[in-house]
Amino acid sequence: MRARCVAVALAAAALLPSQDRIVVGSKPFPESAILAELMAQVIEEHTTLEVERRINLGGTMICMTALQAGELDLYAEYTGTAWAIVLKEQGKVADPLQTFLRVRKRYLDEYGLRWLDPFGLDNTYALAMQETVAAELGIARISDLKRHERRLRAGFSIEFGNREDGYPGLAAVYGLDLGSVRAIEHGLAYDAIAAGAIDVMDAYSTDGKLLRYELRVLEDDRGFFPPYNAAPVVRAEVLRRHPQVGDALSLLAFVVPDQTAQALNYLVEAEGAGASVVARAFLEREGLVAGRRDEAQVARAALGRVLAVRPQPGEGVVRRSGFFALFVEQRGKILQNLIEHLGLTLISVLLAAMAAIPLGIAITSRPRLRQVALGVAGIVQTIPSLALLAFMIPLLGLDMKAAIAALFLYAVLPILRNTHAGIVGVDPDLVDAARGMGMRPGQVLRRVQLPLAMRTIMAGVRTATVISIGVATLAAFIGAGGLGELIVEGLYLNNANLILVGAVPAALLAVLAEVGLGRLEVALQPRTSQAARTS
Amino acid sequence: MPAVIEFEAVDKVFPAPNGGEVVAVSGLSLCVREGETHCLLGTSGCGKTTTLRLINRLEEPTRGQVRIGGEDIAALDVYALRRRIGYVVQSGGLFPHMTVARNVGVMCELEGWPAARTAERSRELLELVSLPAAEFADRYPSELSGGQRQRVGVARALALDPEIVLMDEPFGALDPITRGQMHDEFAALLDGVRKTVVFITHDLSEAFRLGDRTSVMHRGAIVQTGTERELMDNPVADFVADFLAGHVGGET
Repeated sequence: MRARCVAVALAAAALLPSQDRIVVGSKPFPESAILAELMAQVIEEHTTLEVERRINLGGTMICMTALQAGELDLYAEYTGTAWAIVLKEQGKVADPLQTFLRVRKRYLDEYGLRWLDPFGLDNTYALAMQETVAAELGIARISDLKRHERRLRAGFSIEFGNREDGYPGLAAVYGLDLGSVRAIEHGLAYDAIAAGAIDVMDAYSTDGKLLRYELRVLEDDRGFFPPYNAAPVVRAEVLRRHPQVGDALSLLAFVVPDQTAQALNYLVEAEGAGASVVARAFLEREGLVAGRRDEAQVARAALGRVLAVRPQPGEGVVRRSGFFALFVEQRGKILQNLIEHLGLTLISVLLAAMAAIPLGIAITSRPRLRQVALGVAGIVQTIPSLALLAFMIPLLGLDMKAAIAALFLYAVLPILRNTHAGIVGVDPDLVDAARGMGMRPGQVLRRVQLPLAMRTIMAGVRTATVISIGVATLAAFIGAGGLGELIVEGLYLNNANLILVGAVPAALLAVLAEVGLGRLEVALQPRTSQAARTS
Repeated sequence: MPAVIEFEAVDKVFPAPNGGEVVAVSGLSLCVREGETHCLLGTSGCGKTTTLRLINRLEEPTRGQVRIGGEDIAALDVYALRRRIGYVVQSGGLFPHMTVARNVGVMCELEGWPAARTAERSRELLELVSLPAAEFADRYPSELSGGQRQRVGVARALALDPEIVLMDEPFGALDPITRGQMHDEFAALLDGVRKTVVFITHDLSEAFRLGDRTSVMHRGAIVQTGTERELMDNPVADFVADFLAGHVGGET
């Protein structure tokens, strides 16, 4: 009897997961993933709650939507991002504490979300120079640049070089006039500065590459750059229900300063360690979790080395696998993602065909409905894919259902339009003859209109499928899987080969769909002569 | 039911694209006798096609009544009515994705005839229009000449053995030689099957060659009905006289 009660209780617990499960999310870049892991692991260590991870969600908008919809319980946000992007504050506030307090108050009042104590890192814009050059010239602060301004060559990303909150504003505040300022792709700027082609570049202050390329971050002594202090943002309701979550997260307050963040990011970006392993190693080192996992040992050692001494020249550059090696290495994951991708596409296109073909037929005889249906489908098509995915989160949650719904909406228009065009394009004399012979409307449709419109309808299905295969790569942003997962990971690790490992199969899939469905179109087209069909 | 077709004071008005109205047929009264071949003769736009389509209810009268065998056809089941009436259109209207045999037999199929009986009926009708089934049954319309297509169209119209056959310029698109040949064959065919036929043409010689009686139409109304002799000897209006004298050009 007691055993049965326990079983029932366990089953009930499984059915009501949101009661005892905390969902931790992250944006699609290593630092956000590492902070998510830190939070997830201290909760696991210090509470009895189960933690679910939704790593690499598509960005601020998607994380916020998911948080508000209750699909996510917490993630790490930056004060500057909250200030400008979420709260849309206009005023320029450079004081970190004031910014944090104002953001915290507005989040609680307006969204019911709590900002907990910050992690300590400030991932803001920064100017960086080679350590050796900076030391030689005696430059530690941005205002020190003034002394050498004519002989310094800067390479800034296009965005930073042009935005008012980038170099133009900075130059005005510091009265700077650098000798040469060039626009350069951010990833290449590191190589350029290492090669001595430029002296100053813009960077993010916690970027692991600062460590890898031995760069010195110049102190922003006039407080020009807005603060981007990272802190856990948690649904207030979750903290009320589970106060122990707040207690666990308070252990992370101010334990990750910029230098530490650089090291953690470096391990994930350059050495290819998993965010969870790096986070584990760090927490063990800090004594925040008990050391027990062997897999973290290597990372722990690496972390010790990176935190203790800066890497010697050349040591930090980790060779990465080439495309084909990576392809072989990742084949299991590629296959799984490919299957997910196919599933997403097939389900949404099938559903779209089931809805759009009957609707396309119905609108041929209803001009007003036609205008509405084609108009709405056309508008849906113009919504950016990521925004459409974001809209789906509150309705359908963070998984395949939301992705399928978005893909479905994209697939409807081509099928609807082609069905309509196909039916309308059937020679009116044939329809007239069929009606005059005494066929009922359904018989005219099945015997005459649909067979003759089949090729056009199938062309619509083909277009919808190819579009869906493309858009489905974005499903990874809301954690719905698919080949986009590899692409997102590649983007986040700045690993072009990993991006290709996801993108190439997706492109091949699109080509295959194009060719295969083209053949099917020919095969399904009714014969109109005895001659053997050429395909 | 006697296959006599009567129009009584029929108007047919279409909405015009500019919001106004187009009067296609106005105050039309006509009696097509059972078993006769009745030609509607007139220039393009005179309302003859609309008149034809009022018989199988592809159009409904705005005012007035169309009766078959004394019954107002508006009261009949429209699909049953159409299946009693064969329909041949100028382009042939053959379904390009069906073989000749299926084109001919498609309505038998929809009526639920057994496949064997449908096939037999197709074969029989193809022979009737001088298209040996062995050679033509499995061809597609794209593999036929214009004359052959029209023969299939006629065979298809006869599939359910209708009392009435409506023909909308069936030979209008054929070259003169094929057309003359079709006239001979068709005249012979009509003698054999004894149907009530309403036949649209703008060609005087075709009307007199095939029609027992001819109605001359002008501006949505019938100007005169009669045999060749009656029309030629005693045209009631200048229009008829001019038309018969060839002063009024036909279309194409």
